[in-house]
Amino acid sequence: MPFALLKYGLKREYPAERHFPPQPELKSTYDVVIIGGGGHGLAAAYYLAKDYGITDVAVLDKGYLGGGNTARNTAIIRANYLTPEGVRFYAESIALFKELSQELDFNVLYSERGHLTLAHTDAAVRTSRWRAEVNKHLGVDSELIFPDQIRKLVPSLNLSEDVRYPILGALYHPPGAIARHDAVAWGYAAAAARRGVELHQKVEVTGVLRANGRALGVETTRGTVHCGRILQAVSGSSSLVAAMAGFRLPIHTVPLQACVSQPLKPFLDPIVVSGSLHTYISQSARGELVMGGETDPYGVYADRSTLEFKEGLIAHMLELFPFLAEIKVLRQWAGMVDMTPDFSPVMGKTPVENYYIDAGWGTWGFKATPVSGKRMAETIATGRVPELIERFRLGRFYEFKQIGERGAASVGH
Amino acid sequence: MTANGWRLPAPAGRLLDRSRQVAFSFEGRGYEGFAGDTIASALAANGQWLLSRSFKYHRPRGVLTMAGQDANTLVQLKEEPNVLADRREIESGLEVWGQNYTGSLERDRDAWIGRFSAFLPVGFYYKAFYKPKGAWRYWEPIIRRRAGLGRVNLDASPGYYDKAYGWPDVAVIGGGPAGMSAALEAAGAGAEVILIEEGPILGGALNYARLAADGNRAASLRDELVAAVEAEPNIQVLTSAICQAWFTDNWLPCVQGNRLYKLRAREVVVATGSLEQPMVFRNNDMPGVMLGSAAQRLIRLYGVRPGRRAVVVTANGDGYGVALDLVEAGVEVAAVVDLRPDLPVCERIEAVRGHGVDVIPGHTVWEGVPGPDKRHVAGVRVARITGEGECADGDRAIDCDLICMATGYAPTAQLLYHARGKLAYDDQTAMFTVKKLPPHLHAAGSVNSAFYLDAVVAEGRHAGWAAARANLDPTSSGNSRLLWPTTSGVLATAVVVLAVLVARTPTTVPTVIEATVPALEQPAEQVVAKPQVETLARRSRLTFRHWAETAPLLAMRERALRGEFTEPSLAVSLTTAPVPTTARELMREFLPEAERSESASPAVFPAWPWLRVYGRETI
Amino acid sequence: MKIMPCPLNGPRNISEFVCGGEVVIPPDPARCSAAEWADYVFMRDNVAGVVREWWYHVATAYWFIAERDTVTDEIIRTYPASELFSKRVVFTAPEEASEAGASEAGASGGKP
Ligand SMILES: Cc1cc2nc3c(=O)[nH]c(=O)nc-3n(C[C@H](O)[C@H](O)[C@H](O)COP(=O)(O)OP(=O)(O)OC[C@H]3O[C@@H](n4cnc5c(N)ncnc54)[C@H](O)[C@@H]3O)c2cc1C
Repeated sequence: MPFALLKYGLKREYPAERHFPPQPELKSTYDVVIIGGGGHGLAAAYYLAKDYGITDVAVLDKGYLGGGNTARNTAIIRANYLTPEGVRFYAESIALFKELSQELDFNVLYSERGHLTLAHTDAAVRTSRWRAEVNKHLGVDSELIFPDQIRKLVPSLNLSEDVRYPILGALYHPPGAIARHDAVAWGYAAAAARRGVELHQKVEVTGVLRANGRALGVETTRGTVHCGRILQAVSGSSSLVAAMAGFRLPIHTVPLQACVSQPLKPFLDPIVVSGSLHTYISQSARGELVMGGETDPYGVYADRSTLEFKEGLIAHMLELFPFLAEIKVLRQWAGMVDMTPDFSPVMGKTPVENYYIDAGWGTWGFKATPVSGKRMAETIATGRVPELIERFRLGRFYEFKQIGERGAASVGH
Repeated sequence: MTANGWRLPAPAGRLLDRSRQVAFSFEGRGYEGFAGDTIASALAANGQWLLSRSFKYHRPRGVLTMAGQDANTLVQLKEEPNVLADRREIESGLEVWGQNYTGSLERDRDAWIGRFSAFLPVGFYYKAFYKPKGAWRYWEPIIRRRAGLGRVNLDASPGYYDKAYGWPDVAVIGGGPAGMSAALEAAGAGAEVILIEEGPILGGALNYARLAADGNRAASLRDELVAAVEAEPNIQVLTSAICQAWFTDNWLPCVQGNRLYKLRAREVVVATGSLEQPMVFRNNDMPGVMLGSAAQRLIRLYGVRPGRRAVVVTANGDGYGVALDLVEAGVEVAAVVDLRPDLPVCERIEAVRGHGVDVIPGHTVWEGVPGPDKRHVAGVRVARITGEGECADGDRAIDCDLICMATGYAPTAQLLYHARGKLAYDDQTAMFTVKKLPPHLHAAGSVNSAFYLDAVVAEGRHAGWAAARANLDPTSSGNSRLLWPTTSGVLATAVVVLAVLVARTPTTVPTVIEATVPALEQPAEQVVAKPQVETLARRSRLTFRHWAETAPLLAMRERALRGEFTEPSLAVSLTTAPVPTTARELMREFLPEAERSESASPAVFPAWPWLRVYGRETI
Repeated sequence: MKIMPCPLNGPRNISEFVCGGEVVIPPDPARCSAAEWADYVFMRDNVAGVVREWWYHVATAYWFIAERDTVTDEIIRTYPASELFSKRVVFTAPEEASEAGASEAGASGGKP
């Protein structure tokens, strides 16, 4: 039994654990304002304080901390992408994730489960091999495996050939992991607050003050705040906040849904993804099966759920795991995700000076929380965009230099 | 009573078919129940109250709601984990097991962990297991092994499932008095109606609750409504069917057995009732601690005596109904502990006292005392309430094997939330109440905070009428709401308006209707003749036009004239409109001090005994 | 399932349709700058509120226009494209491009 718990339990009065300090008064000026208190905004605040000693920072969120997509995602972490830019970037995130509990003094329940992307067609087998080669070349552990090896990893998977989409092989990525998504947000928030960052919940940014192409501050529901630099990290609301700053984004906001089953005794170790069947599944630390699929077919700014999603998802899940037929879905929900045309993020500088952006996280941004926080902090603190994220610049679309990550990012998360 | 003394004789056990015995097993031991028994009720009838172990501390758990609304009854079947034992019916040869234990359910070797609860506060894992570096790799597999409840049968083969579609004009969800009334009214107006009820029979609370001291009112109303529903060709009834969700454009998935009905309804009436809420005290999760309504369900639906010696803790009249039911079922009621310091004058309380039961006002339950085997309550410690949120140390101990909690309700509002209805906490009723509903969705009955039977029925009728009307007239968005004094000052105002009218013109019910309704049919400006009414209407920014337009007032008037209503349901039909003053203030202004009733509900205006204010608000 | 009131087929399940994106008037590909073209191809207003979009009924291969509210997920109005575009748009070789192009109504058809 860890010592801290012993000490806690022996205290008579059972003090309520406080992870965050009470919310301070909103000041009228800060050095840095971060719009959006999701994982990305909080991580950026933490690394600004820790790596660069910049602590005059306010994180503003219109709701509660980590209540956006950070609260809604299925927490899959992996680096087996297709483009070199993507692979390098997400590999750095995994390295940071592995040390995160120590770093934040908060257990984010990082759980290395292994990640399987099933291939049901020859084309998918080819892509898997391609991805495996790119991954290995960049030092990421990934390989193409075949049904007998898959059976060892997931004995319960239906590997029969008498099905509509027989499984021909899989891209196996041993470092694939899940983590407790809320803990990542709370851990960053608490660690940032300890270093002096201010966290402001229920403060919505309603406008961006600008003059001569420079950002000067933000209008909020609690008054005007002036600042030296601004970071926008609002995922689903990216286009709306960018419009306040006067520019457009290559982003389309659509709902992404997910669901969980009732808690079950663990039987599924790796994360299993099937692009052809538009589904993925993992089993959480509580024993719930966490399941997701594709984004909704049309855009809305409403986190409503649909029956079609649930029906389609479950029908496909039963092709992979027919014995799940008697298992009950516990709940279903949605988040609003910021999709880019090339399935890669938009990071770095913007047409507005001192105004930085961290957007385009679509269905894949949870796994990037540490690296994007760290690298955006570096960008804001030094004014220079690090090489690792330079290619994700907004300007790439005007140069027709997209980073085509679709093959590795859709459904895969 | 059967040999072991838990099974009650008929007519208790409305759902049982006592001519058919069903043998099944639990934890490897054979049991017998009757057809119609759920796993939980059949086990209870055999004195087996322990059903499961809790997720973290492996504490013993048993029946809590008897309504499929809690995790305490989750059991394991061969092909299916996490089955609700209080909802699944027994079948011959069914093998049932407990879940989440090591060794046996009775003697769970993992229960030791409960002793360390002091060291494992909520969220403890965020602050543990990661130091020193690398420790997590060691801890994680140990913790992961403890996850989950039921076990998946990896060889289970999927059963047969299918789908059916329906396009009703009006879908009514909930087959209690409000839902049945709504269905009847809508069908009567020509709409095709589907009525969805999750229980095996229609009736809802009328099947198990006790609504008056004599206990017969519910049954007679139930029989009346069920007969009318069955005789109505425009109503299709689905029982044992759960409407699982509300999706955009009234798209409703309803599961009945292995069939999924997908209904596209033009209008939806949600009449899903309310659920009693558990009370917070130490050991409130032990077997033997259950909701008052759970005890009533055990008795009335399943013919099971819920205990031998009971303590009821309550804060409303329904707790006394529970006590009366227990007495009639042969349970010794040791005490009724009432949180309220001053008890209202009420028939049910008097009836309970009449049975020699000790009524203890101004007290609360401090803790449940576990028996020697730690698997069932054996007593209760009761404490005097000394102030807001404070009480004396547990000053009385009472032996009992049953604690019934009957302290308040929450609306079963999930479907309303799905549809983005707005609910907010209402201090007057001490519960969440509906504030706003989207178009084509209606709420009626206790999900809408109406608790008195006349109010529930009138609301159901109103909602059914409004739904049918909206369906017939596509330009109407429907959902005008009937508001009761419990939900808003508006309605209370209406009642007051009528009360005042009555006060000035001594009269009987039909003449009140006569006196007021003609006025309602006229535009607002013509109502000026009645000075008091006009003043009130102005003050509350209500015009009588509002009344006339929205409620099925005229239909109601017809009925009233035909003598169908004995009580002035008419008096309380209104739309929502902002009111500047509360009912209480209006009362103060218009009624002499002596005539204001401060008694608990249903508040009766002393001067006009026929005029009842439904709900808990004292105005 | 949401219902889409199709101008041709009446109310149908929305799964029978494909959303074709915002109604935007393409710049003249022969004359516009690369930046203008990139703007047209990639950048979106992505409005929270009322949008005007192309929709396509798959089974009948029918394109039409829908106005809907992206915040409430309500479809406000649907109508045939001819309400906005009264002339046929002819795609021509670069040198002739200036003569053809979007119609008057189309060219002025901004956001509602
Ligand atoms: C169902 C689902 C499953 C997913 N699964 C995965 C997965 O398995 N793996 C993965 O890597 N990614 C996944 N994602 C994507 C991932 O969740 C997101 O990309 C990531 O969480 C984005 O983090 P964020 O901090 O940028 O945004 P968010 O967590 O959304 O935070 C943005 C915050 O900005 C605030 N905000 C918005 N507008 C304003 C304003 N005007 N003023 C102030 N505050 C504002 C919001 O309230 C919100 O809290 C999934 C997403 C969803 C919806």
